[in-house]
Amino acid sequence: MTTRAQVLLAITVYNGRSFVPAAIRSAIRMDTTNHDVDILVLDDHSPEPGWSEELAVLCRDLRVRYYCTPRNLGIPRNVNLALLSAHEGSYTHVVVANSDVLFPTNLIESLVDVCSTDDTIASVTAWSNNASIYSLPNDDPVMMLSDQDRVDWLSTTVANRYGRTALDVPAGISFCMMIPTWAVRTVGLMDPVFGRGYCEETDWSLRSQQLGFRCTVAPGVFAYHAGKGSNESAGLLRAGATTVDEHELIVDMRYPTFRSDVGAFVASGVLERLHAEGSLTICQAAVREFGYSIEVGYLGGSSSGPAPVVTIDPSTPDSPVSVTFLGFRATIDIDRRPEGDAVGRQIFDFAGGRPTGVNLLDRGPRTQHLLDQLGAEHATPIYPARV
Amino acid sequence: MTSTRPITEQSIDDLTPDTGAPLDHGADATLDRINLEQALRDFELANRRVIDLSQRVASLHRELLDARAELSLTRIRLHEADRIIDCLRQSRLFPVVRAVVRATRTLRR
Repeated sequence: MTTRAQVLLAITVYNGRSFVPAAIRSAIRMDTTNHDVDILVLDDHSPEPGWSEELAVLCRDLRVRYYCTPRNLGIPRNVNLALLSAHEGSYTHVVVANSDVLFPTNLIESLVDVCSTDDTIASVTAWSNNASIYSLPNDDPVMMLSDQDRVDWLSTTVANRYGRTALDVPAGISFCMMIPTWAVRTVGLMDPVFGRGYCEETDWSLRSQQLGFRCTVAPGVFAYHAGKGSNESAGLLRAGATTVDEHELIVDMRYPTFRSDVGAFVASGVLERLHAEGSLTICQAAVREFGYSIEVGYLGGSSSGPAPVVTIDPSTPDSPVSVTFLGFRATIDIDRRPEGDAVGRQIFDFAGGRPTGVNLLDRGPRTQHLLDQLGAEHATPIYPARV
Repeated sequence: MTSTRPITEQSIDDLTPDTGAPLDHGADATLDRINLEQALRDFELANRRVIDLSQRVASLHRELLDARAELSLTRIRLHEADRIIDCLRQSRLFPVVRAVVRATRTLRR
């Protein structure tokens, strides 16, 4: 029997009237069967008129602890309040999270599981559509993923595939990062030199690594992150920028090998493989659970919506077969050897059954052959829509 | 909006505009205490860093002055060397010596 973890989930807030309520409602839905979770909303003295009062009422109604700092602290010091509260409150773990996040119900369970695999793991970052270089590529995350049920489904799906896997990474991303409180005591707090924020978690991660600890990403848990929640409007980020140059300079000065380490990590191909595998896992689970249609067309998938679609390009015998779902795209590995099964059979095996329909987007020399293989002699010709 | 005045001339309120909820809004005795204690530590750390940076700036400034002095001295010596070379070139013996050097080089080939 595993010990119940005592987890503090701290959501740092600065303005964000349009998205913060969804994040808090998402947080209170989390599964607490095996672990105790307290939620703390840390309002960094949001300047938006009336917003802090509204937020306090919302938190009271949802029975969530709320604190508004008397002056604006900036992200690093607001996060430090979370870390110190976890330490003082004798929590075993703390999750620091942005307020433009939708948390999956399995978040705490999965992150604690990953932490428990190794005593030297100092941080675990959830996987996401928006987590710097670790982001799982998606065509339109705002449209496709900003939905609680979808986030829950995605997270359960990747949990089934990756379980407690911990991927060692150059630095954690504090949009949704779990830190065991022993690591807070050992590594310390975020450095206030990073002012209003950006790069503080990189510095913290590198300090933890210098002490011999691991920074990891958990591919077995998926959280939706809108990104740039309130930072651009607050003037923290220059328009179009994704970081603060001055803070990058501090990191460069303190850790001269960090950039080359990141380069080596990217060049290792581990992320590329993880992205491809993760997208394929999601798409395969979707076609098996929700059914799918097949589109035969030269221009590839016309859309990547909430219904899974397998797209076949009929132009050459070895053209790729791709599958899309909720903005995720993956390529199905098809055996093209002469003795290999027909394309149709392999797609059915991948999907665990036949499609609900076959749409013929374009006609061509090979389309009839493909339709025969798919057992869809009477496919719906919808190609005029593409002209 | 970013002020164009030097940071030392700005008040703290200019740097962190105190708009939003009243000071006592969302207060919590425990978090207020943690916040205050940490703010004091941060203040102390910031002071130490300012002192450290000031010392380093002063040290670098001394190095800069030393380097400038050395550069000036070197320029003076260079100027003196240029003057001596000019004197040598202007002497009546110089053309003779140069002819001898050239002849020696030719003979060595």
